[in-house]
Amino acid sequence: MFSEGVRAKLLAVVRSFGRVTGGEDEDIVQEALTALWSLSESGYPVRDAEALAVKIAKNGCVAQYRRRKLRLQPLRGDAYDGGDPATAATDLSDCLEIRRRLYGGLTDTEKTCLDLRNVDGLSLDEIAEMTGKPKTSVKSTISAARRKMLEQLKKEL
Amino acid sequence: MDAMTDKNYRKELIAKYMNAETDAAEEIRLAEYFATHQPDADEAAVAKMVLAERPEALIAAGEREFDREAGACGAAPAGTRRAARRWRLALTGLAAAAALALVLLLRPASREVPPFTPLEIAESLNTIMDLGLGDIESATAVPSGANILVTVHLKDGTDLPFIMSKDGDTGTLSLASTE
Repeated sequence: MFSEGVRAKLLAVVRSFGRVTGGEDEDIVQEALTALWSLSESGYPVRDAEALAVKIAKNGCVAQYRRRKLRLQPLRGDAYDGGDPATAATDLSDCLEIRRRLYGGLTDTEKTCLDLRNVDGLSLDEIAEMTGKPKTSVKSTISAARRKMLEQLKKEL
Repeated sequence: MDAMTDKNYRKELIAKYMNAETDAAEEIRLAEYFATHQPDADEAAVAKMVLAERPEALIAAGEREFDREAGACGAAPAGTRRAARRWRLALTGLAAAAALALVLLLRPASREVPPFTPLEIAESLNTIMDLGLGDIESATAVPSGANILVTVHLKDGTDLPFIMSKDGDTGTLSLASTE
């Protein structure tokens, strides 16, 4: 799917981070490409694959850096006031895997409505117009999809 | 204070979200919050779902952290790096001019301003190309009156203009950035 040029570009981005050791850089690039595949597999409309791959590779660097910090520095206490290092998902690849799993349990109509909402940023009225369904139907479809996904996640936690 | 840090506000927003009553801006705020904050235990499942719906919020948060960490260890964000590179190039251009001047000072002085020889132009371009910055794709030289306009083309698509001039008394070549 990607030329060697893109792979080389990702490698350069990863190395520019300066905080990954030799050997990890190739792994991060490979993980970025896998995550991109996972994202597109889950139905996420990838418009600029190269730009997205760079962003994902940057996330990979950050995740790797965090993992190393966690190994080296014991956590003091369990209260966090916020800030970038503490995220709901441990890293992007986890998040994408969850997305792939959750979306796998949705109907095509539910997935379409969610993507029009989340990716295209359409309002309920616009989605209704685009899909030819009443606004109330679009609203209940999205709500049902979210409840379905939440139930699944609660079972997994 | 950011309303998102208020647990009650988040609770209301999450309830609206589940009923598909939030607008796009509210949903983005929710995703951005969970992309950068540890959720409370009772919000954990919702947080994962919100981010699964909008992974770009997490991607953007990771990218910001990358730029911050990369900056902290010496690799500044792209814009800063470009500015630094321009300065470095301008300064090394001056250094190159000084080096050329040293060589040319050994020549006999002449009152008349001789035209640039092809060799001088080639030497100047080579000096610029050999600076070892790794970002230069090519350089061109175009005669303009008594001077030579040198344009350095960087790999990121930007151009850096220099003007090369010659002192008729000393034969000294100088290269100055015009930016």
